[in-house]
This record gives sequence, C-alpha cells and structure tokens, in this order.
Amino acid sequence: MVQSIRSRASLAALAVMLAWATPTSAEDHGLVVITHPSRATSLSAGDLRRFFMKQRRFWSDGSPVIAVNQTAATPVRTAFERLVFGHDAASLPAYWNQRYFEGLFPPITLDSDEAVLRYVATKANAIGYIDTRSVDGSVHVALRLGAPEIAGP
Amino acid sequence: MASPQSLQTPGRPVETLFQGLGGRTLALALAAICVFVAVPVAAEPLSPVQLGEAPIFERPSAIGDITYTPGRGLRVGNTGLTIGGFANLAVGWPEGEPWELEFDSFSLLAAYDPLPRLHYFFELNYKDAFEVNDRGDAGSPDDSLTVERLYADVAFSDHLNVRTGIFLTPVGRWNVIHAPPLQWTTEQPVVTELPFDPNLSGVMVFGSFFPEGGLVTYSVYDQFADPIEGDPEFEPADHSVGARLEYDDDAGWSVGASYLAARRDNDWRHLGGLDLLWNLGPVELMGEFAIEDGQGDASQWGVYLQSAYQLTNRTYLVGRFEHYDFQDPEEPEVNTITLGLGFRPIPAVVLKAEYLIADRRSEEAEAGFHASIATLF
Repeated sequence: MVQSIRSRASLAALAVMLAWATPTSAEDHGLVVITHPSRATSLSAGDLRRFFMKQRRFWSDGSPVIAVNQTAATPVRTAFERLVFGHDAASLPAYWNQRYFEGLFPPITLDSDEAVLRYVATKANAIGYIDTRSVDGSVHVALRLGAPEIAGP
Repeated sequence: MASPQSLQTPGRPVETLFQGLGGRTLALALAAICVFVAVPVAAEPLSPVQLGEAPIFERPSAIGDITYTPGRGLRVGNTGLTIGGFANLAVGWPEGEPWELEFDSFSLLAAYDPLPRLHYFFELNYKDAFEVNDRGDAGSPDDSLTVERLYADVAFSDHLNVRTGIFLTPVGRWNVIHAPPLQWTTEQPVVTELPFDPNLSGVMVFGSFFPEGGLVTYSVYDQFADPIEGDPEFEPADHSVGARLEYDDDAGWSVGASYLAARRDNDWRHLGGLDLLWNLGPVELMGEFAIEDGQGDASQWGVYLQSAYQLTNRTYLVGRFEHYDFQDPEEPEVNTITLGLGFRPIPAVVLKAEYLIADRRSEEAEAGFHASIATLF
C-alpha cells in the first residue's frame, strides 16, 4: 500500500517535472533574430536594443535599418522584450511617448512569424525576430536568443 | 540668505509648518523620495499616459492606409506625414488666492519623413487659450500662438545629424519633453524654465555613439535668429551657443551635462547644468541642477529631485523637492515640496492632482493645490 502510494507520488512528481520541462512558449524554444541573406552579420543584444529603440538607425554600410516588431503582447514580442530589454521593458512606453513628442515612431509591426519571415527575406535592410521553430533558409540568422543551449552569435 | 520668517504671511498654516520644520525640510523631502524608491518593484508601465500600438481608425486609400492611433497620431498613408498633438486643462488654487481654470495649451504636432535621412517636424502651440476664475472673470487675456518647433533634420550617419530651424533648447530633461501628458506633475520646477529660453532658432549638430552597455549622445548648437513667438513678454537672447552630452546606461540610468552661453544687451551669461534619470521597474527618479552665472544680479541656481512610483496600471504617486536661489535681494530663495498623484481613466488621458508646499510666497512657485487633465492625441 505504502509502496503504491510512493509509486503514484513519484509518477506525479515526474509528470510535474515533465510539464515544467516541456517548452510551451517562444522563450522556451528561443528566438532567432533574422536579417536578409545579403546582410550576413552577427549582432549583439546591445545592437538589437539600439535598433529597436531607433537609437541606431543605420547599418555599418550606411543603409537605413528597418526594424520589424511583432504585435504587442504576443508571446514572441513579450519574450523578445524580456530577453533584450530586461527590466527596462517597463519603461519602453514612456520612451516611445517621448520620442513621439519629437516626431519619431516605434518600429513597424507585423502580426506573425510568417509575415516577419517573408518581409525580412525580401527587404535588404530589414531586421526582425521570430520563434526558432519558424526559421527557414530564406533569411540569415544574426543572433539566437533565449534557450541557453542555442544562445550566442 | 534671507530668513523665511521675514517673508511669512500671517495666518498661512503651510508656512507655519515649514517654519517648524526649519532645516529639516531637505531631510523630509529626501525621506519621502526614499520611501518611493524603496517600494518593491512591480512590472507596471512607467508613464503618465499609456498608449497602445493598434490603430482605432484604419481606412485604405490611394496613398496607402490612413490610420489613427491615440498618442501616435494620424498617419497619412505612405506619404511619411503624421499629425498629432496634445492638450492640457489646468486648475490652480494658490493659498489665499482665488482658483483659476485655464486651458493652458493646445499643441499640434506634424512630422514628415519623405526620405530615411530627412525628417521635418513642426509644433504649433496655442497657449492660455481660455481662463476663468472663481470671481466669474473669463476670457483670453494672455492667449498667444507660438511656433514651438519648426526644423529639418538631415542624418548623415548615426554619429552626425544636422538640425536647422526652431528647436527646443537641450538643457536638462524637462524642457525637451515638456508636454503635460508626458510629465508627472501639473506644475513645472522653476529650474527648468527660468534660467534659459525654452527654444532657439539656429542650427544644431547632434549624434550618437554606442559604447558597450550604453549610449552616448551629444549636441552642439548655435542660435542666430529669433523664434516665432506670439508671447509679447518673451525676450529671446540676442545670441546663444551651447552643448549637451548625455550617457544612457543599459541598466536603466542616465546622466547628462549641459552648457549654454547667452548674450543679452552685450552681457554674456553662462549656464551649466547636470541632470539624472533612473528607472527601476515602477520607480522613476529624476533630478536637475542648473546654475547661471552672469554680471550684476543675473546669477541664479536651482536643483530639484523628483520620484514617481507607478502604483497600478492606472495610478501613480509623485514627490518632488526643489530649491531655487534667485540671487536677488527682492526675490530670495525658495524651497518647495510637491506631493501628488495621477490617475489614467483611459490610456491617452491623465488626471493629476498635487499640493505644492513652499516656505515663502513666490510667483514662480505658487503654494497651493494644482490639478490638470492632459491628453496626447
């Protein structure tokens, strides 16, 4: 009887551990930052921060950067902001309110990984981010974010 | 230093309170600010107004989709033109004075980006459009129409941009984001408006550099023409030159230094300023110091420290201490404490209420109740 209870407890604990370990969101799988294949460069999280706050507006060759966000409050967007901006993510609304006062606007938004993938694959100056599971050979992966085993340029 | 007691007005309880506190005023203010800073961090957005990204109006047209997003303006298709603005209605009830309701600013903003390297910006502000007080007096005795900003930016690179036209004077932090919906309080610190002209006409060179873990921005400017100002009492400097350097750390803090030299009637005055901003979750700490040294009675200096705490998604608390020394026998120094709160009934609108405590009567920092409703559209 006691052994049976212990077995059940062990199974329950195993189930909880498996549920905990099972990837359920974009952040669990990691994100990839993508650019057009012609722009085969590696980037840092600091670079991303500058691009997506439009503090850095030009690539090193002088071409204008087109940063592409995903729709606000989606899992991918939330994961991206947490990974790139950390605690500062909470101050982004104030930042963009102040930039609006100067006539500067947040990056354009697209509403799915597929849309970002298609856009970046056809725009030489674009940069976006998608769930790792959505990437294909039409774009260059400039940085991996999130999952520890695949992080790094 | 003049004694606050010599300036007391009998029967003013707030001043009595101040007199009792004496030299403890600064300690009290710092303690209040520390209380705000010490409150545990919550993940709430840190901004007086809270705006979304989704348009509430969208219509296809021959020039692309015309969309309107509150606080992000009306985007006119693919033309690169965006039109928006802000408005502010304020109530002031200074101690011992009648209350006054004032529609104090209505600004239209227009941005035009025809090319990636070219940016035009225009701000037209109708100030003091209407006021009414508790005696029933109503009208527009002080209204004026002012071109706050009108400039063109040419971006040669991230490191080098040139701005030509009328622009906000880059001294400190408050002046360059002075729109009421973006500020935590109704009343403005004295140090952010007295020692320098709010805007200049001329040319500015500015840019950014990207050291590891931070951002350095600089600006150098020269004023050689008068702004288009509708206020007859505004007397711009004959000539100004200045510079600003700012470092923003990715950890959420930022420091800046400003310098401005302005000539009026062949008298050059030099202003130096230091400022800081620190964001930690729902807490924002901001402070500015400025000192202007000139000939005769022109010298003056001031400092403020302000903390805002985002209580919930709709409410915040704010506290500020300010000291200002006019270096003028007829206008001695003043110490103020402002305590207030804000409420956001809808994302693009903020209601603010505050009480300003001052250790003496001053036209520049009126003790009493102040409130406002502001919107960014």
